[in-house]
Amino acid sequence: MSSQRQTVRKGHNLLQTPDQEHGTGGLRQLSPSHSRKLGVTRKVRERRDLKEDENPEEKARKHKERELKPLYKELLYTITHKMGKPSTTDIFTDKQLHQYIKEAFTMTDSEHESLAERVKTTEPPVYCLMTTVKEAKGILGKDVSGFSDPYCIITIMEDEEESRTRSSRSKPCKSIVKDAVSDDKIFQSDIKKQTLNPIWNQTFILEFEDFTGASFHLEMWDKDEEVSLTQKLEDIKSNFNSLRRMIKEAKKEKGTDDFLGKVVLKLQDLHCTEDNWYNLEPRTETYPDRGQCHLNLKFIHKARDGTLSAGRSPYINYCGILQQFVQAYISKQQGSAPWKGDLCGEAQTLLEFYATQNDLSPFLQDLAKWVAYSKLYQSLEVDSSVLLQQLTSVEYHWHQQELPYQQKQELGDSLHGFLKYGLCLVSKYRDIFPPTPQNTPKLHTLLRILVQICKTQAFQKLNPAEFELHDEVSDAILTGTEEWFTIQKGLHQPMTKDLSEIVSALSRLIAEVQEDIKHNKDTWNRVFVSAVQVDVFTVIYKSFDSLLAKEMRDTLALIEGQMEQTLANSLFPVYLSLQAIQQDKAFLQKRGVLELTNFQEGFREALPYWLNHAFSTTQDRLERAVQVDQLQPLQSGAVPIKHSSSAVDLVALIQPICQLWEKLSWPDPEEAFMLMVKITEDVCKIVVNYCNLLKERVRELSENSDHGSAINMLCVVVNDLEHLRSVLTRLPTQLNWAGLRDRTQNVIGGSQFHNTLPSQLEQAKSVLGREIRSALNTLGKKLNEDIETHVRNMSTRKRIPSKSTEDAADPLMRYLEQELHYMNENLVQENFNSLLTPLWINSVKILHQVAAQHQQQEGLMVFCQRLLYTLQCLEQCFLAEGNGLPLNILHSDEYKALKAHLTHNSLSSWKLLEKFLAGKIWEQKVNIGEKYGAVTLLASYRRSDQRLRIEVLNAVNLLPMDSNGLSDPFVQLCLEPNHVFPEVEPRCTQIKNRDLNPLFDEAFDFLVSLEQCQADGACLVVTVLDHDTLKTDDFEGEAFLGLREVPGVPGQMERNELGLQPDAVPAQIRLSLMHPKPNEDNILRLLESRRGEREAQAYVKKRRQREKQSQEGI
Amino acid sequence: MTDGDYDYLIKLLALGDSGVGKTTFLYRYTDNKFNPKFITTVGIDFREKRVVYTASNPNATTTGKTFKVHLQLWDTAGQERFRSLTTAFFRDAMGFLLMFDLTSQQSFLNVRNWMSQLQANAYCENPDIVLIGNKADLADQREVQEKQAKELADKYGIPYFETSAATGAEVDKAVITLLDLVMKRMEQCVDKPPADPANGNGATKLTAEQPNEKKCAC
Repeated sequence: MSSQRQTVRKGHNLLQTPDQEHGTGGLRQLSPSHSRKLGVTRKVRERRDLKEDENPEEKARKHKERELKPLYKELLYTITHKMGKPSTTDIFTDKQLHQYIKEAFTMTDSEHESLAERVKTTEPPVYCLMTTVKEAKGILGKDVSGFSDPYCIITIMEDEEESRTRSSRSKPCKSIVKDAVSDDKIFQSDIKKQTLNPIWNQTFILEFEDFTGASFHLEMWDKDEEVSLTQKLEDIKSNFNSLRRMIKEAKKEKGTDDFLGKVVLKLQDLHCTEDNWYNLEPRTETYPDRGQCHLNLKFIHKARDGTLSAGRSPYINYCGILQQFVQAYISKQQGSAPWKGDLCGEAQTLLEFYATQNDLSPFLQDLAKWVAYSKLYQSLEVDSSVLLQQLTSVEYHWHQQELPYQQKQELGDSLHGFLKYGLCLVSKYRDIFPPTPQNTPKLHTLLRILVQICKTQAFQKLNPAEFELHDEVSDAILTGTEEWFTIQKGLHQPMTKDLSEIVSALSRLIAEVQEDIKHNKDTWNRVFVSAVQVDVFTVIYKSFDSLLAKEMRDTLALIEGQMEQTLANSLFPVYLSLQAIQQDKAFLQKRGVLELTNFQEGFREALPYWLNHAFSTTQDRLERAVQVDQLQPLQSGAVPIKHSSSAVDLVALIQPICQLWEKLSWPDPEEAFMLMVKITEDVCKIVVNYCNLLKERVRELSENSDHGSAINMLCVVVNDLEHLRSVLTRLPTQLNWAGLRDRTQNVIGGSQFHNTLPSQLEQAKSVLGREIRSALNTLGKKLNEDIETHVRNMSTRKRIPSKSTEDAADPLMRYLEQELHYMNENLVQENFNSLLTPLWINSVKILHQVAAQHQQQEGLMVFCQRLLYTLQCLEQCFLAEGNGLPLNILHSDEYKALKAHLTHNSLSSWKLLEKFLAGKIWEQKVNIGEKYGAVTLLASYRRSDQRLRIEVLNAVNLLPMDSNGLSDPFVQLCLEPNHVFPEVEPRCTQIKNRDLNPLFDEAFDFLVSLEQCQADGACLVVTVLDHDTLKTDDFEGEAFLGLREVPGVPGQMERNELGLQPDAVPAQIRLSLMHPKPNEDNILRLLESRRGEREAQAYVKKRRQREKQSQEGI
Repeated sequence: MTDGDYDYLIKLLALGDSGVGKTTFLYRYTDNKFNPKFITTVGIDFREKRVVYTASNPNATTTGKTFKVHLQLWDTAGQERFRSLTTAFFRDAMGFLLMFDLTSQQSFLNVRNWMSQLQANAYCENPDIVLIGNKADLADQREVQEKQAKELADKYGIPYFETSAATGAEVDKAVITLLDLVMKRMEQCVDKPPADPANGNGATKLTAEQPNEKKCAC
């Protein structure tokens, strides 16, 4: 700031700061078009003169000598000869004022003293009160007509005159002023005829010598003249009321004026300027209400000493002082807030005095302010609203009064200059008004000032040439934009001729442009549109369009045929920026042909490289992602994620490829189609690669970990792959295939579209599916191995008697439960099920194998019991209460066979026998047809004496066994099984010779308990035999009657009603005869294998014999 | 076609000037049909075929083994305007059917350009290529002599076939030859790292492609 004070300005009336000259040098570079339009002003020429000046200190000294000292003297003079009170509220003493100017002009004490001394020796001015009698209202009507013919007499009475008048006041005199003062000091205004509200607007300059004690006098008189009698008579006729006044008038001395009122003001009480209505005072107490008079009073100097400022005009000095004061004020201010037009009280007072003393009109004052402020605006932070205010008042005064020629010129130049300066600022709006909340309003005010200037009468009068601000602003923006672009281009100039260097420079440049367009769109456009109706966005957009198009053409021409990966990579941001810029064209006000419209074409060569880059980047990242994957399920969040980190990564990694598609948004549909095909291919490939990497990884990890966690990891892999499948499924939506289909409808056939996109994806999915299946298989195998081990362990433990069946099966069950639970938790349902099925089938198979291997060994029964138990547990496990495998899958043929096998093996021989007989009973029941004849019995059980009574009635349709075509049948009754009825002997009927339908009618009683009859498998075996005397009897057939079917057997024993219970009615039962099927029954075979058990062996032997006799299966 | 039941997935790509008969060639190969109408391929198309491949290399461990091979045949557009994008597809192809038109000298001359494109953009410097002179049935319009083409093929060290999509002559043979080359290259890659016994069939099959591409990604 201090440097600004050392201002040099020579030959011209305005102060010019060096800052303005050098500091704002950049702003001075006006475009040729501007200087052409506005013309080269004088200032520019003068500035050139200054350029050759001496060193700055010398300049400052000269400036002080030539510019400041005269002004300083003027101010000292003003203070010395000040008159009247200032209009400011604060009244300052001379000392205060001296102190202030000393600071403001940076005068040293000695300088001040010497200058003050010099001012003292100058001629004092002639003190004057410039009085303008403007008008009066409501004065007395002294004439017959009711009106007066008023005029004023004005004078200043100095001390002694005053006292003289006062002494003679007791005696009323008609014309005190005239009497008291010499005529040359009295001024008289015109006489206004016949009015009570006269308007004079006459100015008189009243000189006086001594300020103190002097007073201003104004008297208003009514001029009386001779009036013709006829006129008076007319008056009488017209107005009777005036008769009295006429009489009164007649009494008066003819030709004597009437007193209307007076105004007396003491000069000491006056401000340096007064503009007021004053009451007209009466001379005596009569008629107090005499109306008012409007006076304008100003203390001015006449004949100020011309040596003070080398005869320069007060206006110019005023400008100089003003500027100096403002600068002083600003430099004193703390902070960087712009100056809002304030000045300190001292400065205001001094300026007022100076202006008044030199009688500067308000117009000139405002003009000076405008000129000074608009100059300051160009060098200092000045709030633009100050300028707007001055501009408004200049415009106001312009309509009120004419300016002297010189000032007119100056105003013209100043407006012009400011406009030029303003446009220059506008062209640099990017740097000067950055898009911040503080700066945009400044731009707005500046533009408003420019608009205001163009609107002013003064500007239009003084610059008759056509000046269209809108166009000028547009031009300025355009020029500024081009300059800005050139500068940016320079800033981002590539360091070497290297192609990728050039391209990345271009990329940076375009990024700048993109940013700039954004600012213009979001911020500046609003300002420009609202202030000057210039759509700055459209202007700059079009400009950038052609500038960038040219840059692109040049760069692409360089690249032509030299495309390689790094170059292509560096081109990508360029493409994106251009794309973004393209999108902004929607905001253009006027659509036109844009040069960048098909900019994509230039990038065609780079496309494959971009795709490649995206692919290989993803591939690399994928590898890294898999390398760090520990194949643990991600347990973050409330919902457990079943896949591992790399699957999540993969989804994220594929994202950029898909985004590439969106980012490119390639316009040509056919090429876009190819792009899509390639992108899809890449994604599929990445997915497949991931598959392989993952498998590699799980293999690697499993090697160093235990079996259990290996299985868990495999599980995660399955889930990862499954997750991938869902990613692929989403791909068509993600890449918006449907949209592409619509776009390419006319160029790409449906089958081609299908071949290249959906079927390609299907291909990848099927690969995935296969991988999932293979992984599940591996998983299943691992589990099967474990199951097998457990099962085999069980079989080795069979000899440990302490171990119960439950305990033996426990490890397997625990294992399965744990694993299946884990799988169920961690596998997707679909995969879990497809894992369960083979696992179940395998488990059954293993059990079967194990069971088969142990067939001939000791303790098979216990072992089989364990296996059966295990099978049942497994079934429960896989069924999982209906959540696991469905029953139809569980109950496979193999399962059924195994179950039967195990069930039988786990039974004791007795149990087996019972089961065998039960089977026979059941067989008997379902047997239809009497192929071998039938036997009819009457059976009943009496609980009272525990007697089973069987009456053999007859047998029918027996097969002939003898050569004569007949048989000699008899019936054998036997209660089985033997262990239930140990001491019951078989019973036989009599032999009926040569009869195929013998009638027996024999009754047999068996004394057996109810418990025996109700035992499992308890039955009556009815055997029909053909008696042969020479050889063994022939077998006619056998029948099995379950004792539980015999009346009296079923039901509980009711203890208390023992005697009361009625005996059961015997039932007649017809049993068809059967022949056993040889070697068919598993139970017999099983019993046969139990060689150690004699009883069983005997029974089996008996049955085998029977089978030999059987006619079934022969 | 899209079940994962195959041992190898092989991507082959047909390239050459517009109108040399790439599409009809592939159509003949996959469907054994001929469409005499010229419909220019827009962008890229894709055909598939399953073949059973019997390894014939006596030195390889896989001798005599048969594989189910799923062939993906990429049909490219020959037009100049698609050229730069077409090269993007070179990257993933394992073998190339470089075709020219026996009745067009120009298409033969352009083979050099295609070769350099291939060398620049394929997975490696010397990918598996078969040179194919198509339209052998149009003997009266022939402009390229067999000797000429053979010399060129020898210069590049690649097999040469004169085929006719119209009659089907040599079409299968050309593709099978290329497949053979690709498979041999793959076996070499597979043979080098020790085979992985742990993870069953699926794994080894798929990893077979992996080292191939990794190695040649330069």
